[in-house]
Formats: sequence, C-alpha cells, structure tokens
Amino acid sequence: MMLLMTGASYLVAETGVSGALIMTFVLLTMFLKGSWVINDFMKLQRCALKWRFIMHGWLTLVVAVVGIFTI
Amino acid sequence: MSEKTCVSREPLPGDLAIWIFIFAELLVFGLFFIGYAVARSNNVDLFNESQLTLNAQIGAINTVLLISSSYCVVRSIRAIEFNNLNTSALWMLFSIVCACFFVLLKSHELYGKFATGITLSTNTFYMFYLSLTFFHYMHVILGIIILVALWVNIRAGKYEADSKHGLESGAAYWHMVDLVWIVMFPLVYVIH
Repeated sequence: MMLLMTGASYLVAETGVSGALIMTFVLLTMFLKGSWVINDFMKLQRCALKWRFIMHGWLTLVVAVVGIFTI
Repeated sequence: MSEKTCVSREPLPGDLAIWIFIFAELLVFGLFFIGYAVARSNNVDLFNESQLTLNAQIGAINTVLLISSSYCVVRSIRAIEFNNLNTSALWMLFSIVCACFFVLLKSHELYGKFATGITLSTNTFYMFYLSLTFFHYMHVILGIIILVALWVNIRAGKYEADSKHGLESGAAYWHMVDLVWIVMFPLVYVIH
C-alpha cells in the first residue's frame, strides 16, 4: 500500500495535475505513510500515549502546516 | 514501571537516548519543512518552475528504496525474536543494499545539479532543496554506518530474542530517516 501511494504521488508529479483535491490527496498519502512508519515500523502502536503523541503530533503538525500554505 | 516503559503492552523499542535524539532531529527537519512551505507560499511560481528541473522518478525510486530498507530492518528484528541469526543478518544486508542504492541515486542527482551550476544561492527553492536533501543525505550515510555495525553484531551473535536493545535503537534511527524522506519526497518533488 505504501508503495502504491508512492506511485500515485509520482504520477501526480509526472503528469503535472494540480488543484486542491489532488494536493489534499498527496498530503493524505504523506500522512498515512508516515503513520504506518510510526505505528508498524517504529513499533509505537502499543506504546504509551506520550510517545505516540510526540511522533503523531509532529507528523500532523507538519502535514497541517504544509497543507495550510499549499492548498 | 520505569520511565521508558510503555503504559500498555510493549516497551519503547531501543534506548531512551536514541528517542531523545530522534525527537531533536524531527524538530529540526520539521522546522525546515515548515520553512519550505512558508517560503513556497511567497514564491509559488519560482518554486513550481524550479521544481520542474527535478527528477521525480529518482525521488520516487528513492522512496521505494527507503521504505524497502526500513521493511527489511523490521524483518531483521523479527528474525532475531526467533533467534534466527542468519535470516536476520540477511535481511539487514538487504536493508544496507537498498540504502546504498539510495545514496548512489541521490549522489547522481546532486552531482547533476552541481554540474549545471546550481548552488545554494541560485534561488530560494534550490537553497531549500539542496540544504534539505543534503542534510537528509548525511543522515542516510550515518544510517548506513549504523546498519553495517548492526549487521556485524548480528553475525557476531551479539543479539538474541531477549537482548536486542542495540538493534532496536539502530532500527529506530533508520525508521526516522525513512519517515523524514516520506514527508520530504511529496513536499519537494510533488506538491505544486
């Protein structure tokens, strides 16, 4: 799924399609892939809330700010 | 229950020190990303025009390589949990190979930019592009050194199912490098 999302993002870059909906999709894939890395690769899914809050908080903040200044 | 023990079921993987380091690194990269987004909002045309000179194909391949490398590290730790040292070492080796291909492609990309006379002072986009990607590139190189050290330790039999703290610490750092790239690729190569 992560590789498929990367492929979709690549197609957006190659075809040059733009617009709020497309950029929202790109940001969503960024967020989902980041969440997977945090939960499944870093193994934080079952850790204390404070650790998950820091990692997911960082990801959410970055994606949100990028979204605010992009869309 | 110690400070670094998770409240629910599983302990925080690796040493607390590596996580403090990871949080500090993410803070720096996060500020870079926000800076990029703000600068882009003030120079949309310049950023879009300069972005067209980037090779998104290399960026996408590098994303696949880093995700694959991270996945291999996960499998390597999984093998250690079953005390299967040979399988663990093999997965770690795959991870190192993926990371080395990333460095090769990134070096090719950066060399291409420098060869055409592009520098940090060419424009704001390239200032961010070169500093962000080079900063990350240095992290990948450090990550490869860590992965090689982990591979050597696995082969030396230094990790076991109930003694894999060092392996988890190195893995956490490598996943952080992957996480940063997962944000950086769409931000720099895709969003326009």
